[in-house]
Amino acid sequence: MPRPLLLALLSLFLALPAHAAEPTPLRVGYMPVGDCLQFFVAEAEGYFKAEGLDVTGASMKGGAVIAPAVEGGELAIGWSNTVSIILAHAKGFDFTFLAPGVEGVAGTNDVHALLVPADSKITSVKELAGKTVAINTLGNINEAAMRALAEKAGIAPDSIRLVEVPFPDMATALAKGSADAALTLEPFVTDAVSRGVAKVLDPSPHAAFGNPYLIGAWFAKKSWIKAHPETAAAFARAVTRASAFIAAHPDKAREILRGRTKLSPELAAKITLPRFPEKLEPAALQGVIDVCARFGLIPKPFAAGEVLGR
Amino acid sequence: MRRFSGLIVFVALACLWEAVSRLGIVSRLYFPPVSTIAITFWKLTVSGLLPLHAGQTLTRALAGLGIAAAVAVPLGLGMGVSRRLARLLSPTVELLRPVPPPAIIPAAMLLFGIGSGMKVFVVFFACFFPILVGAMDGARAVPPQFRLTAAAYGLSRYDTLARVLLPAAGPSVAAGFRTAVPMALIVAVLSEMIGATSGIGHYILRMQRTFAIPEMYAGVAMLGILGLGLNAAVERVTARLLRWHEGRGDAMEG
Repeated sequence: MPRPLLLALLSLFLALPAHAAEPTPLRVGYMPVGDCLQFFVAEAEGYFKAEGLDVTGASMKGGAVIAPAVEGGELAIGWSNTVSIILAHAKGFDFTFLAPGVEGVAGTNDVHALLVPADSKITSVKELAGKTVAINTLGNINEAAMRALAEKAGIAPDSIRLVEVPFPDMATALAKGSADAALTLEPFVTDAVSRGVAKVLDPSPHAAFGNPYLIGAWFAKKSWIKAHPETAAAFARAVTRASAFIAAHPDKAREILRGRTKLSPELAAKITLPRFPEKLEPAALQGVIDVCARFGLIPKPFAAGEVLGR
Repeated sequence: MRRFSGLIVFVALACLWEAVSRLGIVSRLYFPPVSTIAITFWKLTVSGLLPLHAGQTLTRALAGLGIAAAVAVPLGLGMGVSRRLARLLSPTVELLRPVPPPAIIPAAMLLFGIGSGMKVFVVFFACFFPILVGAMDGARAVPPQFRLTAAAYGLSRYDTLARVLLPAAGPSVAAGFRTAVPMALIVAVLSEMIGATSGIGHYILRMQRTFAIPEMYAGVAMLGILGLGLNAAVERVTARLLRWHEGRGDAMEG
């Protein structure tokens, strides 16, 4: 085929308006953990498709890694623990929470736990002074929780050394003795405990954040939401629909989680499912912001509405 | 003027960076002006924070480098002299040598945990092979008459090694060393980015995670300075040790 003709055809093809039924491509960053169950459910149940979205997921290590990818435009939307976004906001980044993620109620539906090796002599958080604790990423909700825990136990918040270890490697770090404790979450809590590798030192390490408190949520750049309001709203509807599904069909939700995190059926039946709220409540976020300010992660507290796009 | 031409390029690039950032061509949050970074660097250095982390990194790098040299130099010389030893070890060396050092970090974590031991081991692994190969090539290139002469004078094995072989192989050993030094720093920093509580690698990662971007670049600048200093030190030491060698290339050929 003569080249000009080819080019003409090609440009014609590219210039064609996207077909109405053509789904909108969307790259989304998530973590392969129970906290991101909404995402797995929305994919499995076809909620994204129903909203006309063609979602490609990127599995990542934590909010602190997902946020730069969202800032750089590599991802349109990401899941993050709330602290990473609070820190980014305090440094001038333009992130807004888009849809509610996971919520915690200290003492009732804890999906996080502070673990120590099964044969550890440590019996209280107080004894962790000078010890090494593994968290998934530095400067996130788990770091804030550890500092709050230390203070509550009467030791200096920075007397605990925090190391970055990905969630799936924490049990190994504990078994090898390279971390004295690990702040991890489902399904790893149930997995490590039921394998006899670890025991629970504190079942609700995030208690300092208030009741209930927002652990994580879906976020995007304000400028991106402004430019793609329809897509942003469609995504928010899809994950909120998934929240309702999880609440109504916990067993089916477990089955979906099992497929995504390679859990055994016995384990999947045992783990605590996170709670997914219907709406983004400023109150659930304010406690987290205040804890961040108290432990010097941000210079001063701000109103939760600032990162909720209100 | 020629002396300063390098400096001019540096200053020009710094000005370009400053302008690109201040004019908002790229996000100022991710690419802060170089002046902001310089001020941050200064503050962090005066407060002792950056030197503290740099010291940790340097200690790990030098420990790994030192152990690697202590093991690799004698082994390499031995392999250069003895065909039997070379035949015995070469397959193992050739198999391990192309493994990129970062690839062994996960394995090292399982073996040594996430403490300093792991980091020193990874540095050792990275530095071992360039030094070994340098020493081996050096010993191989020693003209046979050197050894024959030593034998004729009835020198002991040890004396032959210390007085003849090592000095003759010196330039090649030093070349291996020069390859290993930057590697030591690179790998030490890399290993600190996984499961560490101190060191420049840890500091840079932590600043990135907490969105403290000028602080992150200040850490990178500290690394640059550290690398520069380390290279200069190695150049000096090897130049001094090999001073006898200067200008003797012709005599050796003859």
